[in-house]
Amino acid sequence: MSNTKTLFSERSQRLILWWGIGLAVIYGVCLIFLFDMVPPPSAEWSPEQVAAFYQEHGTRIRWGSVICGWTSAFMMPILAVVTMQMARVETGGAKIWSALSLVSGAMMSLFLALPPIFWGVAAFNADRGDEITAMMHELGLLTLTTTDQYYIFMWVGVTVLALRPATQLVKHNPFPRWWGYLSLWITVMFEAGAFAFIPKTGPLSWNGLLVFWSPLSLFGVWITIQSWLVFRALRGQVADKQAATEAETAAELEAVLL
Amino acid sequence: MTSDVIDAPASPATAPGKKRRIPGEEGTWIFIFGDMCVFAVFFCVYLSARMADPAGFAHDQAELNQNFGAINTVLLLVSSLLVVLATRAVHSPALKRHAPRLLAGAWLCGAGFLGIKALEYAEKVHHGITPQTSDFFMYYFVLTGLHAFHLVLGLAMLTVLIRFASKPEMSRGQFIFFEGGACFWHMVDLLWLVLFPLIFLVR
Repeated sequence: MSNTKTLFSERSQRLILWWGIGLAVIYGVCLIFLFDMVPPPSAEWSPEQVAAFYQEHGTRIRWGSVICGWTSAFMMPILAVVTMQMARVETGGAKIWSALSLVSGAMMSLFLALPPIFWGVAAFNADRGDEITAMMHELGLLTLTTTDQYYIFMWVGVTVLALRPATQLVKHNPFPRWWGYLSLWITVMFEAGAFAFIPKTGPLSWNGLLVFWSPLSLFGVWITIQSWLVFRALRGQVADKQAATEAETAAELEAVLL
Repeated sequence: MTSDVIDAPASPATAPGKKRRIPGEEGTWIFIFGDMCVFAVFFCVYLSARMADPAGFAHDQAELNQNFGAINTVLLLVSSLLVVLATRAVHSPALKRHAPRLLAGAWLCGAGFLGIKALEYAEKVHHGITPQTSDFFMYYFVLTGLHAFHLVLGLAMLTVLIRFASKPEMSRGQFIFFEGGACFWHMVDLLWLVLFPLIFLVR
């Protein structure tokens, strides 16, 4: 009976989700202010221009890499909580969609962690040959923008569960049907990222509308709304547990008194 | 189980005075409006790029084959009409048996659109025109490619609708999904109706 009385799981989920959000915010701030990558410099820059950028901002970029060394795996805690909630509503047999999303969260963390490392390496010895610095810079940006598929596994999992009628029968479910449609749309919008290998200007270049701006903002929108939905569901789950515990205590008390 | 969850009524025959409702699920409209917003942003970006270089855009535009665009417009309009007729048909017991055939017709029009698009792209590539050729052709390939991608999604959706329409009985949830799918198809059509004049015709 003790599992109905303790709120350890719900409190832990809330704490871990806040932890992930905090890390995500710091990562975003580093991307904007320390790396100067929002928006990223034009893909048409010459190696000399890239090298000059890293020589000029080297210290700032390296400190950015230090901070990202602590924060860039922010999707691991966020997805750990989201997939626990997915597993809760994924009734009937193996929780395969939750598992897929959890793996996706771990893998996408890797591809969010790599770009700051590559930029840090580019700045580490910015006086070396321009071509080498430019290659590290390009490796960082293309890693950030073209690794879509790791995000898509997660969103497909969320979409399937949100659109599954059985999910809507679970009380305090953080995956309403409209969220399934929104996640599906975000999935479609993310698919453009991989095109960044082809053009150097326009909407499909690494600083373009479809490859950079829409994925970046939709990623932020997704994390914000999903976190809000999970916090709301957790509040309901806590309230239910508390009510059950109170009822149980009252029953026990009654039994003792009688 | 489906019917337990979705509370909107399935009957389209909304009697006068009855509460009006939006077709499909609310969620499908998030998807549709989201997509339309993205395309709207793109149309503005395209127009501003065009204003920056009107002569270059007009020169490149002259190389487009307007016949392909016009045939595709007709194909999509016909397919939308067939989807409308199919949506009516699934709601009427007497006409229901026609619905799968009407949808199959819409699907073939969509596939025809893609076939013509492939011909059009092949013709361009054959003449050495790629997205790297100029700003105009970059927008041409990105915008029409993005639209074609939506059309592929729409064809997948129509396949699901054909399966639903072939069932002897559709659940309420399936009716509502059917309407949402039909709305998505109309959106793909509508986007083309803006895209075609914008890229092929505007001078």
